[in-house]
Amino acid sequence: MFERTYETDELIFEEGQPGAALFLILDGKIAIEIYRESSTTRLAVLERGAFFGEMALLDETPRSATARALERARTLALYRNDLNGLVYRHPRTACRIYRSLATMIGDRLRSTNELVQMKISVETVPLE
Amino acid sequence: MSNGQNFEEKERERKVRRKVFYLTFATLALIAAGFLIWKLRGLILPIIVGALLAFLFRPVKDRFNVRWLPHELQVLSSFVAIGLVLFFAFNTLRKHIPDEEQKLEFKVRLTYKLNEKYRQFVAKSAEGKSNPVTSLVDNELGPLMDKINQALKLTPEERDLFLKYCAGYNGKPPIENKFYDYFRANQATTKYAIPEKTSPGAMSPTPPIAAAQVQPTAAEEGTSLESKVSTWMLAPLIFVFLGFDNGQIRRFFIGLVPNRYFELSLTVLDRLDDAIGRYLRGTLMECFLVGLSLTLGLILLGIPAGVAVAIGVAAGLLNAIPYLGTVIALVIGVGYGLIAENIKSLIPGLNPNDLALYVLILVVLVRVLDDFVFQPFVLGSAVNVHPLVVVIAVIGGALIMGLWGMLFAIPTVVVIKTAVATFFKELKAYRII
Repeated sequence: MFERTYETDELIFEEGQPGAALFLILDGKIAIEIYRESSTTRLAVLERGAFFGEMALLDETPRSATARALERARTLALYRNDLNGLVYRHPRTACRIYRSLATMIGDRLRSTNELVQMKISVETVPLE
Repeated sequence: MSNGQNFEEKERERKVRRKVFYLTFATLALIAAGFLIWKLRGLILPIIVGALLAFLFRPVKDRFNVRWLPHELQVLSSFVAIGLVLFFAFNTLRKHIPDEEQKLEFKVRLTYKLNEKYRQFVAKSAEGKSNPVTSLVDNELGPLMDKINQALKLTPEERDLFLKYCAGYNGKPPIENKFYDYFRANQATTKYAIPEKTSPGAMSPTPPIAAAQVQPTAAEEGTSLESKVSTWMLAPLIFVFLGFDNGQIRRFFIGLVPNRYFELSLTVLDRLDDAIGRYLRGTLMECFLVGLSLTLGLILLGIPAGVAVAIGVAAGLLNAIPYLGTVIALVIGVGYGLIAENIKSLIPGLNPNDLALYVLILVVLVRVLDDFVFQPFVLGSAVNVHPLVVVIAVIGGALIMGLWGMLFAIPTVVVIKTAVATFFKELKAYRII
């Protein structure tokens, strides 16, 4: 694990960049945002104890959003290959991390499904 | 000017100051590092060797990675395991290293056989009445044989010791009579070179004073050896310190990297680690294949399995230093081929008297196999370096740094190639360039 400190407004990573690590917030606030041509959508503001960039632990696909420090923030970074090594050295710990990841991704998928369903039901309301 | 604008202006100035400070500091640090590296260049090699040993040791350390065992104890246990393996390997090897009596016997047999072969060759060339050959024998091979005889000549103490062993000495049975006869024949051997006619007053080409100036004194030699030994003491120290390292060094260096390059540096370091690992595994595989080919070839030529394995192991291990394995195999193999008697080859039609020549051909064949098959395809594929680059790198390394240059040529190419390729790829991926 690597401790990193980010100043206000400093980017932790940008959307589209290759991801290599997960970040756990020790102190401060981090915004997860998506930048489009004319607008910025803030997806979440994460605080102490939360983690982000977890998809980088699973594969090498580019980051799906940008993470920016809203105030001076201290984070702990877990590098993907260190986690892979942990599977052999400390399988139990690695299992716990993967389980948390799976639970979180499941929760997010469920919320996304609900959002999609809500959108579909709004769009399919019959016109009177 | 409002307070906000004032603050922004101050922040901008601070940023410029910070940049100037970092730039100056980095330049000074680079100059200091360059100066130190140049001044302490003698330490670079032991440090690299120690680090490479620690790298090779890592899989062993990982084997002892037990959750309930403190890290220091894990490392100590792996050190003990390696120490035990080396102790048993050395003990086994020691049994095959010739003792004093065998060394003397080997020298006597080698001198006798070499002279016998030479005399046979001279007789043949004289029969052929070929003038160029006869002149080559007289002018080149004669003096060469004299030099070999001089190098293999027993000192008066060794002669006395050999005679004692002939009669049975130090609790050992007497040496075979045949070898005593060889010894007597060696004593009777005269010089082959035709002495040059020199004028009575001719002086030695090198004045004695000049020779004394060139030759280092015993004290100088001792000091140089002492400094070399103390420099090389660094290698095991580096090995031990890196062995105990639990990622602190990596964390320290990554900690120096700006946030912007954090993930990039992790990726580059990881790829380098992977490339060096693949190179080391490739080298081990190449050494194994060279050793195996030589061992099988020597067994086919009729050399006893124990000797063939010993030569194969030595040549295979030393093959990590390009060409050294071949030289060792050539010296030991041809040497053994010259003194071997009652050899029965597994290949029909081979003349046992020409064993040394067959060994020479075998070593050359294995060398060719190593250069054109093992190195390019085993090592080349392991590190993804073109076979031509491998060959050029080895020759270039030899020209720049001699033997050590040859040893570190390919790892250096691997590290540079991987670092540059990964660095540029990732810099683009992170949109830095």
